[in-house]
Amino acid sequence: MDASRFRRVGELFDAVVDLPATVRTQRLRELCADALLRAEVEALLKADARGDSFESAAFDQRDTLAGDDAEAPTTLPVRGFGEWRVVRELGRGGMGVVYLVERDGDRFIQRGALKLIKRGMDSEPIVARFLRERRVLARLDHPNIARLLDGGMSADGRPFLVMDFVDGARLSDYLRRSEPSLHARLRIFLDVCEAVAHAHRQLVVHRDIKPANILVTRDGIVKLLDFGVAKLLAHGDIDGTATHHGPFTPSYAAPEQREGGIVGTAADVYALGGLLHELLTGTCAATGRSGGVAVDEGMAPSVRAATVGSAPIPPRLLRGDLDVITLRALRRDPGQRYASVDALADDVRRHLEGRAIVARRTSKAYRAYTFAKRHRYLLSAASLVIVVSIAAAAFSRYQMVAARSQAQRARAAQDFLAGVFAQASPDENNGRPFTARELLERGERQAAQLDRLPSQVEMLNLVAGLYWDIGDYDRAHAVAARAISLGASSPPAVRARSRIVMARVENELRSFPDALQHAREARRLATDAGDAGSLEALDARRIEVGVLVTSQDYQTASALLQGLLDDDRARLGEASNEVADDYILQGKMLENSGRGRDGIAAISRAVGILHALPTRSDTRLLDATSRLGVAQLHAQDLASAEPTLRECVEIATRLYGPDNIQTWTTRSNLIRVAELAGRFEEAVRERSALLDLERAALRDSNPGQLSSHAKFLAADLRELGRLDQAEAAFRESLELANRANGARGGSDSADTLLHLGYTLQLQGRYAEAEAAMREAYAITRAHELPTSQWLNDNRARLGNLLRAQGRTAEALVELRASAAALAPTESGSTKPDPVRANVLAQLSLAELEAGDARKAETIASEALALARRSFQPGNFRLGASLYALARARLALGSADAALPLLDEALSVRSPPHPAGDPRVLEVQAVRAAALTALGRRDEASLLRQAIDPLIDKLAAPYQGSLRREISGRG
Amino acid sequence: MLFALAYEELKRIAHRARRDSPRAETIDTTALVHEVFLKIRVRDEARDEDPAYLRALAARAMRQILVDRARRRLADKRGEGMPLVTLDAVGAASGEAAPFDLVSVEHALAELERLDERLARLVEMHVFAGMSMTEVAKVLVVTERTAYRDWRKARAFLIGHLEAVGTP
Repeated sequence: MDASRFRRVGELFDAVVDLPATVRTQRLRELCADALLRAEVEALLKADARGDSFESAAFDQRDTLAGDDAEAPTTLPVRGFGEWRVVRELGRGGMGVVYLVERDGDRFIQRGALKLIKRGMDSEPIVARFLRERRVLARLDHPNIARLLDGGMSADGRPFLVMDFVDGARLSDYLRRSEPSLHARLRIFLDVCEAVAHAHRQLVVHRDIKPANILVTRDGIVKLLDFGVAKLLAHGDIDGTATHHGPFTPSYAAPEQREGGIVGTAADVYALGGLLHELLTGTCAATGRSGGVAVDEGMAPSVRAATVGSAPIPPRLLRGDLDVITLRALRRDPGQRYASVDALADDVRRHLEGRAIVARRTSKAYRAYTFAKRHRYLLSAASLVIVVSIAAAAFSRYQMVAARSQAQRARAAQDFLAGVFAQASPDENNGRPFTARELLERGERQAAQLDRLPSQVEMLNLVAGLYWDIGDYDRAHAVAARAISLGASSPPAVRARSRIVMARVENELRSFPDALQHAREARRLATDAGDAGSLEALDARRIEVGVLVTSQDYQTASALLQGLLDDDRARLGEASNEVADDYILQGKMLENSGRGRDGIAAISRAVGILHALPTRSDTRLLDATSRLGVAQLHAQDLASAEPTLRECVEIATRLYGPDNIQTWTTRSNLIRVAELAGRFEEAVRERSALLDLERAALRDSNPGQLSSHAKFLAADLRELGRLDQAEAAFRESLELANRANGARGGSDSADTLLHLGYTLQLQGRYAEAEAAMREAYAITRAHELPTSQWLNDNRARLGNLLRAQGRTAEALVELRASAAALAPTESGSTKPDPVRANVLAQLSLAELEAGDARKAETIASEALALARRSFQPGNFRLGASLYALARARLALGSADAALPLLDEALSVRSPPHPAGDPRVLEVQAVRAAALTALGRRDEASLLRQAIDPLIDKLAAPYQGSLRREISGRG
Repeated sequence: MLFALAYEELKRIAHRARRDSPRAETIDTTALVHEVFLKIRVRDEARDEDPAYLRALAARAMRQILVDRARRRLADKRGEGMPLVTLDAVGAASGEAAPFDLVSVEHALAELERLDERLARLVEMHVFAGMSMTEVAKVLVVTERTAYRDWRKARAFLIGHLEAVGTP
């Protein structure tokens, strides 16, 4: 089968498909002599019979696959509309849903059409539009306009309108069914004109007149609907400008409306012209086509009727006056149309009465003009989705920009984009489909060819922005740089935009001084531009603050942030992405300045805002919620962190699916909660599962990701006392980290080495432990400042190991140095500091070994106080300070003061550590000694009997030291 | 407007992907983009505002995404696989139901595309993008009557092909 044969089959199919079966076969034989061909047609006809079940099955599949699980279908509200009761749903529109409602009137039940904003769409502009419609309708009282009966707020706070329920058919359906005469059609048209004229007298422009907005009742009365896009022309309206706001239907809209220019009553005249055209010819003025034959847009009704196959009115009746009237209403230049709807209606009336129309008196010839541009698309079947996204994005970006700029510029931009994509034929690209990058390159080249400089720079700005958006920072930088160099004579707002892209890229590439410079330059230019640059000015300031925060210049940042927050709020509203971003910046700053609680409050506000936005961006929300969860983790607020992080997992899974790094990260964060709460069995289970998942998905790529997760798992295993498994996991993590970094010695490795070392220490393999820890220390020292927590934690652990080996003097050197380096800058500080708590505990033990019990006790007391501030009650990490203080007190002879500490140490360490773990046994050993010292020999003896066999199983160094403990020495 | 939203999503995905994994082979960005696009598109009720060429492109995208999903579900062994829909009526003649899924429809559609591109576009828009005949007619710039007729033709072709190919 080839294309031409198929076409023939198709033609035959079309010819016979509607015939009754009996006639069909014969007719087919008449039309086609080729038996094989007939057989093909027969096959198609047979298949056609099963069309409906195929269709429903296919649509079911499609719906299931495309299924949106995020939102449940909105259910029928049954109350909450004052006295109106919902009967059924009438339909759904872009803005919301329409219900048939009833209420009890004086003598009969009154019916209405209740228009309600869809949940999730009650943003300010949409609500404003809604309320505008209410105000507009309230002023209009005309038999051909659907009357406003009522309005208010529903029980759940959404505004609603109740209009006359018009029981009628859409105009297009009515025309098709009733096939009215020319005279009848003109009468209908005049009714609509009267309605619109009435509205104009009330200073209301409808702005969306089209057949779909016109109903015809059973009695033949015409009703005009949907003044939702209407605009009040009087002063004091919410919109200061007269440019279009909100959607309109392009095929019926006046050129000035489509291009974002000033919209007045002339736009309605234009739309009425389109309506008249359609009434007369049965086709839409703008897009009318018939039977595959191309028809020039903008043709006179009589000509159109002549070309169209099944025109409702014969062309000869349309020739002349009606042609002239229609075309005059459809003039591109508003000044050349009828000055008012009344004038238009008058001419139609004159024609009906057989009088000469006014329009003919002007002698200017009219040109046929295009109503809408046609866009060819030549992408092949294998084209990438991202192309669509880029095209759509670029288009909508320009729609947004166009609303604030001149019509000419907007048109040029649209043409440009249409040109880029229309020409993207794979034939030009050796048969391969275009990638996003290639299309952008084309865009760049074409931008270079534009001769009007301001537009060229604008194009380059756009392309740079698009490169940034797809993450190609180098390209974005290059194009932005060119935009800057070419834009010397462009208007300031345009130049500001170039610098804004530049600043963003540089921030991302961490060239902070450059980013700042460009951001500030952008701000200066945007301010120069005045109103035209107001949004750019805010963007520039936001980038500036963002750069300062990222480069940790919190002082300057916070000074600017408050002002920015206020201005963003004033200009864009509290419920906006920008204000949410500001709060997140604030949160980042506060967190990093140690004001965790305040940081959490700020991020919570951001999350709240993002939740409430009507056009919710899930990725943004995930970002913010993730930050919140992690902040709560750091503040050890596990009760809040857990639900927050669980929500992150849900959002990420929904957004990205289960096999994605983002999702894995959220799961990993959630597991941290279990780890911090000491639920290590659970953590090990979850981490192993996660690691398996990642391993399967990543295989050999991204070893860095696997390395860090393996490390977390290893740590969990260690806390559970499964030291061999922990060692294996740490080694694996190390292996992976080295593979990720290409060579040994990345800072990721340092942390792993340190913890491997500690694991080896617990296994009694002191020499190996020391080697690992020293290697880690060397790496860390190369990367970190002397006061860094990281570095001193490392150092202290090394010191602790030395102490365990009996090398007390060396140990003291390291430990004293670390403690000093971590000392707080302000005395009497009550900030939590888990690392320092640990370091002090270890130092205390070293001092004790060195013989100064009193000093040991002082240090250990400080350690414990700090630990209690840094860890939750019951956390196993309290164990170190409890143990250290207990030993010091025991050494000073206060066994009674030591014992409760030891009991507590035991309870916090076991679980998670098992009974035979050295960390538990060391506590038990000292307990035995304390009991002995207190004279409670029986208890001591029992305890010794219990732990002896366990000590026997420990590695050699431990056996020695613990037995010494028990006997009270050391 | 809705595309602007989709775009926001896409931007952030691309950013996060880069930041988390500079050697980004691990992220199936295209799949991500598909998923997000799909979510937005399904909720899209303001389609009338988009110009025709964009709607046609979007329908193409929908086709790719949905077929991709269908393929993955077919291959899915974790039990999340979708049951194959059976068409009782289709197999009436042979006495047994012939199961089909969107992947087989895709094969048939590819064949149709070879023979008549416009019909294939129509199927994309009507089946995969769920556009009404009125919308489809507008985009293809034909009358609704023509569009319906063509749809019948295309539909018959697809059914014929599904039967010819048999169970996937």
